[in-house]
Amino acid sequence: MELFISQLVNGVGASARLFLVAIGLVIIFGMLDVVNMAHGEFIMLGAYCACICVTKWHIPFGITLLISFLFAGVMGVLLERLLIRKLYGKVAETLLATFALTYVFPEIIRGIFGPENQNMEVPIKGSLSFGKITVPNYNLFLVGMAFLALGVTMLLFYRTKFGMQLRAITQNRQMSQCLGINSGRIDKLTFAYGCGLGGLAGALVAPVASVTPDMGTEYVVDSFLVVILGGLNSVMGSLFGSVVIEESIAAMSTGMSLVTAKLLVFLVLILLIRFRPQGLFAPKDRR
Amino acid sequence: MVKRLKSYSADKYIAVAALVVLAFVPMFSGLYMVKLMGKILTFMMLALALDVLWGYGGLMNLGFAVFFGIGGYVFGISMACQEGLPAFMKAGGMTELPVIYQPLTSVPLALFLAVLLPCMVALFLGCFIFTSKIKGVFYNLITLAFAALFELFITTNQAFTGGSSGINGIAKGLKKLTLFGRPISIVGWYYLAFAALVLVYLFCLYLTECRFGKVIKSIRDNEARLQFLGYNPAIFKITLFCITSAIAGFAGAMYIPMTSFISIENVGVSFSTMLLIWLAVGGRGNLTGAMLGALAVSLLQSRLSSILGNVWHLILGVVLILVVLALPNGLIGTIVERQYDSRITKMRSQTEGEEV
Repeated sequence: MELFISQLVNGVGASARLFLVAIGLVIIFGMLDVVNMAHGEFIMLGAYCACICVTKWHIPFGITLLISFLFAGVMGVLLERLLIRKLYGKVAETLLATFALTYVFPEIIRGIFGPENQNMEVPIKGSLSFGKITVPNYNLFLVGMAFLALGVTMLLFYRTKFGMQLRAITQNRQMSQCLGINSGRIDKLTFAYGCGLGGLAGALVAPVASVTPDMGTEYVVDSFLVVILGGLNSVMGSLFGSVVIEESIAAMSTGMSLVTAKLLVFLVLILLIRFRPQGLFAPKDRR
Repeated sequence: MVKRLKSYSADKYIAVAALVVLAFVPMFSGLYMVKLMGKILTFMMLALALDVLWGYGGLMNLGFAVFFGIGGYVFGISMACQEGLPAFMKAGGMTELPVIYQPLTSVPLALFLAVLLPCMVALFLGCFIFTSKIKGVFYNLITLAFAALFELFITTNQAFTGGSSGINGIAKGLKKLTLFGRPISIVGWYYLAFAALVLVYLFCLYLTECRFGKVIKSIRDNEARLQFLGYNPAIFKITLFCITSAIAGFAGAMYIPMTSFISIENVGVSFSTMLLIWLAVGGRGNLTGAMLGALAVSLLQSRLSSILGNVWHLILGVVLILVVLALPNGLIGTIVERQYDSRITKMRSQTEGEEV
C-alpha cells in the first residue's frame, strides 16, 4: 500500500513534467493547427542551453530558465519566419518539414557539442518526508512551475490584448484580418511562445533526465498522447491529460512493468477517443 | 496503338524503365549489390502500399513501418524457429517454444500470418479510428503513438522478440526452404521479390483505377459529398487500411530472406519517418513516385551513410525541407505535372489553330 501511495506521489512529479513538456505543443497545435514534430528538438535545445549556462558559465538556475525560454523562443521565431509560415494550412507538408527538422537539429547539436551526454546538477536538493514516503524538493518545484506555466498561459490568452486577438484569429481568421489584426505577427508570437515553453521544459527536465542530441523524440510521443487525451485546443485539458496518463501509469506500474502499463493506457486511450473524438476535455464550441 | 502508348503519362514509362533495369541487376553486379537491391525491392513494395494509403486515400500514416515490422517479425521468428529453440529465447530463459509461436513452425502458415496479422491489427485500429468522428490529425497522431509503443513493446519483451538486438539465426531456417526441390539462392530470392514487386505494382494500379480506388480518391477530396451520395467512408477507409497493411506485412516477410535479420530499426518511429521521406521525395499520388523515392533514397543512404556517418541525416533533413518547399509534388509528381501542362498547352494551341 505504501508503495502504491509513493508511486502515486511520484506520479504527481511525472505529471508536472509531462504537462510542461506538452503545453507548448498543445498551444501551437491548438492555435495554429501546426503539428510541430520538432517540438522535442526545442526541448533538447532548452536542455542544452541550460546545461551550458549552468555548468560552463555558472549562471543561476532561475536566470537560466529564462535564458532557455528566450533562446528557444527566438529559434521559434526564426523557424516560423523561414519555414512554417509558408506551410500554414497544409497538414502533411508541415508534418514533413518539422520531421525534417528532427533530423537537422540533433546533427547540428552533435556537431557542436559531441555525442556524449551533458550533465547538470539538480539545482534544488533535499526532499520532504511524510512517514516512509519521500518527495524530492525538485519534484515540488516542477509542480510549481507547471502551475506557473498554466497560470501565465491562461493570463496571456484570456487577459491580454494579444490573447484576445489570438482567440479571434482561431475563430475567424479572415474576419479578424479585416478588423485590422496583424495575423502574421500573432502567428509568429504564438509559435515563438510555444517553442519557448518547449525550451523552458527542456531546461526544467535537464537536471533529472539524460541530455543527449536525440532526447527530443522520447518526449514528443508522450506529448502527443497528452494532446490526444486532453483535446486539441484546451490547455486545461492537457493538464488533466498529463495527470491522468502519468497517474494511471504510476498506479498500474506497481503491479506490472512500466511498458505494459503504458501500452494499456494507450489502448484505453484509443477506446476513449472512439467515444470522445475531440479529446476528453475539449471545449464544445470549437470553431 | 502508338497513339494509345503516347497518351500514357510519363510516370508509367519511368516505372516500366525502372522495373526493366531492376530485372537485370543480378546479372551485372556482385552478391552484396544483389542483397542490397533485394532489400530495396521490398522497401519499394512498402512504399507502394503507403502511397495507396496516403497519396490516394489521404490517410497519412506516421507509423506504417509497424505493419512491415509485424510481417517481418512473424516470418523472421518462424525462420529462426526452424532449427529448434532460437538463441534469443534461450537467453530469455525459455526451455521450449511458447504456445503462441507454435503455429510459426509451419512456413506456409507463417507466411500467411505475416500477411494476416498486420491486416488484423489495421482492422482493429481502423474500426476504432474511422468509425468515430476523429479528425485527420488525430489519426496521424494515434498511428505515431502506436509505432512508438510497438517499438517499446519489442525492445522490452526480450525473450519473445529478441529485444533491441533483433532476431538472429534466420539464415539457418532459410537454407531449409526449397522451391521445386532446390534451395533458393540469394539471386532466386531477388527474383522472387522482383516478381512480387511487379505483382504488387500491378495490383496497386488496378486498385487505384477500379471503382474502389475512385471512391477512395473521392473520399480524400471530399468526404462529406461522398456521404451525401450514400457511401459510408468508414468502410472504405478501413478496407483500404487493411489492404495496404497486408501488403506492408508481405513486404516485411520478403525482407527477411534479403538480410537474414530484422531488428527494431525496421519497425519503429524512425523507419516510419523514412517511409514518409521516400514518398515526399518521389511524390505521392502516383505509384512511380513512391517506388523511385524508395529506390533513390535507400540507395543514397547505403552509399552515403557509411562515408558521411551522421552527417547523412543532416543532408537528408535539408533535402526534405527543400523538397517540401520547392517541389511539393515530389520529383516524379513534378515531371507528371510538367507533361500534363505541356499537353494542355499543345491541345489549346491546336484547337485555336483550327478555329482560325
